[in-house]
Amino acid sequence: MYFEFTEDEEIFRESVEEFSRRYIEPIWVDIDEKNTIPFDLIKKMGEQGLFAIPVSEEYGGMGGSFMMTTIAAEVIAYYDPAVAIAVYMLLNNGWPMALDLYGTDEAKGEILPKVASGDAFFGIASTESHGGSDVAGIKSFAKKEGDVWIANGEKVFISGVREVQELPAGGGWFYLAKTGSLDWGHRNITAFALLPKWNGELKNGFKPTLYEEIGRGGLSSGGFILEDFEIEDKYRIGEENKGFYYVLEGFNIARILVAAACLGSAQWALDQAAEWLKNRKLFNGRRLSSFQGIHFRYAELYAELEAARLFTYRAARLVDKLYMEKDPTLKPRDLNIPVALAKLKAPEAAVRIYEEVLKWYGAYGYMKESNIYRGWLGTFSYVIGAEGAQNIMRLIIARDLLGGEYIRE
Amino acid sequence: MMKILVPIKLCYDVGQMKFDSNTGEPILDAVPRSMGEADRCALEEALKIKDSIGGEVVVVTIGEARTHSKMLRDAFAMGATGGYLVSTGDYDKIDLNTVTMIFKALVEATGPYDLIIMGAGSTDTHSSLLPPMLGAKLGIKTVVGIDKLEYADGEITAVCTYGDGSYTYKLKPPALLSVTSEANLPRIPTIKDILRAKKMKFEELSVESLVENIGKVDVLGIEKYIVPRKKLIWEVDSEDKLAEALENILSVLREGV
Ligand SMILES: Cc1cc2nc3c(=O)[nH]c(=O)nc-3n(C[C@H](O)[C@H](O)[C@H](O)COP(=O)(O)OP(=O)(O)OC[C@H]3O[C@@H](n4cnc5c(N)ncnc54)[C@H](O)[C@@H]3O)c2cc1C
Repeated sequence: MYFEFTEDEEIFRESVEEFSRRYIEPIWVDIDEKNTIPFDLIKKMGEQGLFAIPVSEEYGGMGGSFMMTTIAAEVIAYYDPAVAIAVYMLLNNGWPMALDLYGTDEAKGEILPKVASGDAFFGIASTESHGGSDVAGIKSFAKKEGDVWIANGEKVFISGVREVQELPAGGGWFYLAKTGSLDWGHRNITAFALLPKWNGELKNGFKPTLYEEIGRGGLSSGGFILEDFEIEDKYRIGEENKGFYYVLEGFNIARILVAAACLGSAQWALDQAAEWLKNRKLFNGRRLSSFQGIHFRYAELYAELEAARLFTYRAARLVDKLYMEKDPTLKPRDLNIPVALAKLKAPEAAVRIYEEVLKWYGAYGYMKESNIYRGWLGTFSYVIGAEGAQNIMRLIIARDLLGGEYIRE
Repeated sequence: MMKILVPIKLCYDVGQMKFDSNTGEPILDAVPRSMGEADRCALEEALKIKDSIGGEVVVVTIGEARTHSKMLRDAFAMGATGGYLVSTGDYDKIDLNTVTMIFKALVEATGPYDLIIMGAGSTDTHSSLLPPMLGAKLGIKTVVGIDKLEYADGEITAVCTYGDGSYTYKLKPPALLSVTSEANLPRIPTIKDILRAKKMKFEELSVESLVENIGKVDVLGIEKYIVPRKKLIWEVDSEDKLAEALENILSVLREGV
C-alpha cells in the first residue's frame, strides 16, 4: 500500500519483520497451545527495544515515535496471528506511554526502565463486573490516609494477571479507583500505578484469580480483589479525581495499537488465503481464485483491510503530532474520532476476513492443523471489547459528530 | 584498529517477485529492495571484527540517494561508522568491469583499507564475479565464498566449502574476502540503533569523479525460469505389467523429471 513512511520507520519495520521471522514465527502456535509466552522471548523483545517504544529515553524508554510502535504491533501480529505477543507488546507500550505522560518522576523512573527491559509488565486495570463500557460507574474505592492510599474493590477481565505474578520484577496496571464523592459522576476517579508485585516482592491485600480464554492463549487474563491494598502517593497518576480524562487518553493510544494488531493478523490470513486460492483446483482443474464469487470477495475484504489500515496510520500520526511534536493546534479529544474509526473498522475487518478465509479453506479450515482459527479467536477479543467495545466506538463517533446533548436523551 | 570497507548492493527481494502473465517479465516496480543477503553477512563479519578490536567499518554503494539512502542508513544502524554513495542514476546498467574500476578508484581515494569484506554474490543477479575481479585489480590477497570467518591475533582464518570439499585458509591483512549468506546470522538493529543512524550522514561522490569511461550493459529482458515438465503416462491393463510400469516410473524419477 502507499503511505508515506520515513526512512527510519521503514528500516524499523524491516528490523521487526526479521526479528519476528527469527524468534516469533517458529513458536507462535506452540505459544497459543501452551498458553504462555516464554520469558526468554519477552527478554529478547526487551533487548530489541520493543517495549516502551514511545516513552522518553530519560525514563528508560526508546524515545521512538508512536508510528513505530504501531508498526511493531502490526508486524508482530503478522507473525503471531493469534495476537498474544502483539497484545503483550502493545499493552507494554501504550500504558507505559500514558504513565510517562502523567505519572510522577519517581514512579516513572522506577517502573518504566523495568518495563522497557521486559522484566516487568504494565497494562490497564479498569473493567469491573458491572460492565466494562461504563468506566465512570466503577466501584473500586481508594481513600487517602497520610501519604498512602488504601484501595478496595474488584477488577475483572484484566490482561496480565499471571505475568505480573511471574515476571522477575513483577509489574502491574494503570489502575482506576473512585476517590471523590459518588455524586461527582466521572469527576471522582483517580488513576494510580498499581504494583501488586514489585521488585520481586508480592504485596499484601492482592487476591488474584485466573480465567480460561478461548483465544490469544499466550497472554493470561484474570481478575483480582484488593483488600486494604496500600498505594503510596508517588504512584498516583496525575491530579486527584482527573483519572477519567487520563484513562481516555490512554485508551485512545492503546486502541490504535489494537487496530494495528488486528491488521497484521488479518493480513496474514489474507496472505495464507491467496496461496490457497491460487493453488486449490477443482471442477476440471480450475483454480479457486478464478471464480468471480471468490476473487470479488477477496478484493472486497482487502479493501476493508486497507481502509482500516489508513484509519490506523492516520490516527498514529496524529498521536505523534499531539504528544511528540506537541502541535499546539491539537488537543487530546481531537483523537477521539480518528481512533474510534480505526478501532471500529480494523477488528471487524479482521474477523470478517477470518470467517471468509475459514470458509475458503473448506473442511481443512475447520481442522486445528490449519491454525486459521487461532487468528480468528485472537482478533475476536477486539470485536468483543478489549480496550473498548465496538458500540462504544460508535457512541464516540456519533457523540463527537452530532454533539453529546443530541444522543443522551 | 582496523579500517574495513564493505561494498553493499541494493537487491530485489526475489521471493516477492511477481511476473506479468502475458510477457513473463518481472514487474520490478512492486518488488521491495534491500541490502543483499550476503552483503549483510559481510557487514556482520566486519562489525564483529570492529567490536572485538575497534576500528572503522565503511560501507559503499553505487546508486541514487533517493533509492539507496535507506540501505546506507540500515548499514549505519547495524553499526557501520561511515559510508559513501557513488551516485549515478544508471546504477542498474553499469557493467561489471566498470563497477570493479569504481570500487578500485574508491579504495585508492579513501583508503587504505586493511580488509575489504563483501558478499560472495548478490541476492538478485548472483554472478559472484565482482570480488575476485576487484581483488585482482587491487592486487591483494583474495579469498572468495567464505562460509566461516574468524579474526584473531592479526590473522584471518577462512573456511570455504567448494565442490570438492572444505578449504581452510589463513592469511594476514590486507586482503579481500567474500562471504556467503551462510557465514552468520546478521544482527538486527534495535530501535535505538535506528534512531542514532538517522542522524548520520554519508558522503556522495559522483561516478565521474572516480572513473572516466563508464561501460553500460542494457538488460534486454528477464524471464521467469520455468522448470520444464514432462507428462508421461503408462497404461497398465494387467497386473503383471504393474511391476514394469513402477520400474519405469522409478527410473524416470532417478533421472530427474
Ligand atoms: C481478551 C480480553 C482482554 C481484556 N483485557 C482487559 C484489561 O487488560 N483491562 C481492562 O480493564 N479490561 C480488559 N478487558 C475488558 C474489556 O475492556 C471489556 O470487555 C470492555 O470494556 C467491554 O466491557 P464488558 O465486557 O463488561 O461488556 P459491557 O460493557 O457489558 O457491554 C456488553 C455489550 O453491550 C454493548 N454496549 C455497552 N454499552 C452500550 C451503549 N451505551 N450503547 C449500545 N451498546 C452498548 C457493548 O458494545 C457490548 O456489546 C478485556 C476483555 C477481553 C475480552
